[in-house]
Amino acid sequence: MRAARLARTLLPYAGLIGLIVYFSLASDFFLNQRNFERLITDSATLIVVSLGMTLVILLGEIDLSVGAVVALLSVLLAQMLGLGWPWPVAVLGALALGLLVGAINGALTVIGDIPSFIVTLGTSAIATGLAFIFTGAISVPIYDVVFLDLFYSDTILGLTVPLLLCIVAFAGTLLALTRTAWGRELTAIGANAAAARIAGVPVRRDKVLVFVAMGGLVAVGAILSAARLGSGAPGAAPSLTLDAIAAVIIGGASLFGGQASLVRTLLGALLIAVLNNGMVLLNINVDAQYVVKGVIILLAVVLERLGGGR
Amino acid sequence: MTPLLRLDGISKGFPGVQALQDVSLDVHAGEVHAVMGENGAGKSTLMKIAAGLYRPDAGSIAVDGAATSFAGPADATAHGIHTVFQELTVLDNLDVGRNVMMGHEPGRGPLLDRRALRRAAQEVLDRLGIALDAATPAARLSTGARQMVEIARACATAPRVLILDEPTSSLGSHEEETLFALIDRLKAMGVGIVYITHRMSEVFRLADRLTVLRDGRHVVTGPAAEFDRDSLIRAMVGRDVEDRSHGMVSRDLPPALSVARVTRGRAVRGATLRLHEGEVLGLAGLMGAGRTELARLMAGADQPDSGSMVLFGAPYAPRDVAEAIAAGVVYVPEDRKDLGLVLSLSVAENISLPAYRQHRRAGLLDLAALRRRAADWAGRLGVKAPSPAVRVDTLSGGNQQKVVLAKWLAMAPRVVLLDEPTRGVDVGAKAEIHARIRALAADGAAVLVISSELPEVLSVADRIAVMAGGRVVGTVPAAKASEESLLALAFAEDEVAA
Repeated sequence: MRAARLARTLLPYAGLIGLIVYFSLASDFFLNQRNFERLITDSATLIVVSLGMTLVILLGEIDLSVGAVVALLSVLLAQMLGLGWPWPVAVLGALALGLLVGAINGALTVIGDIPSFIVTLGTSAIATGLAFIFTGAISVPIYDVVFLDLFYSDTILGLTVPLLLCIVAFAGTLLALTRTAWGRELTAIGANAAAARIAGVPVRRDKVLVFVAMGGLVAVGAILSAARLGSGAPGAAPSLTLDAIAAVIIGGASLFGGQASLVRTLLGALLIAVLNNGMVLLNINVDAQYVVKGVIILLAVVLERLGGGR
Repeated sequence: MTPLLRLDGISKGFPGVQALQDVSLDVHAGEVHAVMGENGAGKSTLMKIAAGLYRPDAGSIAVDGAATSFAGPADATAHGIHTVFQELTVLDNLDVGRNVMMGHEPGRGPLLDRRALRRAAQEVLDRLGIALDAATPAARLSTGARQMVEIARACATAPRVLILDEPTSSLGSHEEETLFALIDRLKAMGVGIVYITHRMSEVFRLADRLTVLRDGRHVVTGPAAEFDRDSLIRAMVGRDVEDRSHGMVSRDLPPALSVARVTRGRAVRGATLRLHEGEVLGLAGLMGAGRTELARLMAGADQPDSGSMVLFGAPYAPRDVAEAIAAGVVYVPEDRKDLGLVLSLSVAENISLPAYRQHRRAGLLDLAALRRRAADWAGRLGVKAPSPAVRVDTLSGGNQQKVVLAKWLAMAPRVVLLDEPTRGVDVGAKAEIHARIRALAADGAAVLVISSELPEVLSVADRIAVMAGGRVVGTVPAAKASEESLLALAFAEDEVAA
């Protein structure tokens, strides 16, 4: 029991360090600054979305729509740019749409009293369908060079913009979780919603806000994804939902709510990022990644059970 | 005579705490042996050892004079030792019969023989004199009936020793009588009963012998007749606990909170109540009389279908708990594990939970102020914890209840609604909580205390309102009330309403 709990606590650290050491030895191209920048750029969407997923899982909820919504928003962003709209307008438009989708997910879950598992399964299917209808299943190319450079390759203070956005998103969610009334109430709601309600915590409003925040982060993820691919693609993020949930679980969160850590989620997301990056460098079959990730998720959950997690 | 079960010189330690030190206990056929002590005295640990859940570090266990050791709970059961724990484990989705026969269902090969099962279960219930039908879905049972089912389950395989862990903690007065009758019947059948309780009156009503534990050590064992209330309290706490009635008379002031003919569903049917500043109003009644439901309406946790409330002269209709808190009304719920606390959070986080929104500067929390406030209130209520940062579920029941009180008193309420504030709390903590309730009223707050323990209501309240069938059927000054007169009120109306 004790050993399992320890193993569970160490999993994100040991896993991340282990993978870094392994790939450094196995590939000459892994351990250098350029590859690190590429790794972050490739995984920025995952990192940003995982942070939102942490808040959702902390509540004891889940969001299965993130992959589909990132794809839909990237398509809409590309189409807005294609209409000749200035890039800041298109970006703000994508953000607004993301917040709207989050609000819909949250409202249906809270006001409709429907499990978020079902709600987001539904919105996921709708988003995927819309993305394919709007594009005729063909990616929408982006020609706005300023937008592409800014969100892909430009640097500010020596940091690439995707890295910068990850840092800002991390700092922002950490601040919200630890230093706002809303954030502190989330842990209580996830652990015991009835006790939180009778303590006067606005449980419903807090919950809807979590889904809205998730929507905003999903929109940021979509912007980064569109810039990286240079297009809005209806199949832009096939494994994003799985990866984001995996990052949170590897980070030690309880799927029953009330327990999650942004720092450890970040480690979980980086672990998956390193795995994706390293397997490409080693020329391992892309599809094998799914098997490896599935095993890691199950390992994390089994260790939690053995460790006497709630 | 050889005792049925004998625990001899038992010691048990956990990391950082010696839970039991050289404790002995025995129980004979046909006797009730009460085990008393404050929370943390070691009662639960001793019972868990008898139930085979823990193995003692030292000491011996003998059944019928033969030394033995229990490999696990199933082993203890095989020796005829059955335990009914405080947390009820009746499954709602099954009927009474399935619950009673759980673990030893009669079958034909791999299939369940439903008819034989129902018959066997009904036999057990009838033998024990429990008026329940084996076919009733468990979901429809009251808490008291669940307790009976729990005992019936333990008795399904002819137990020799039955260990009951605070069996009345969730029962109303009339349900208690049913339980006591059942215990008398088990005694007559030659079952040895170990009875753990916090309640004085039960010990003197039921016990043949009693044992007092304190801080994991054995204090005294003797015939119950040799003790009285004061000597028992002294043995438990090792000091005298002041517990006197104050007998203040309510003043003729306008009420702080008045409730007029409020109704909600079937639970509250036209209740009227006036609560004054500076008084403690007791709210008595049987299980299901609508006391908690009425308090929830006053607290904004539920909204009435009809009727009106007035708070300090202004109409009062809170749409949620937050509005009630903002108006100065707080409700301390009865179930501290499910509603009062978030068990996985720390003492400080629990105390701060209702207050986060009042401690913001430019949108961000003033964490230092929140920490100071939590430590201050934990101290004022006398919470015994290594630090406010420890998880609240590591504390004893009495200390957890003090955390709940700290959480609400820190909100500087003008009206305090306390629902069973001392349930499952030891005598020492109980006296402290009572003193705190009196002090609250002396400071000018209007305090409502719901309690199923009539002696508690009588000793802590200035006036006592009695509820039955969703209505307040009478209000009497505590000085003029007695247990008998209150029960008479509660029962009389019950019959009318039924």
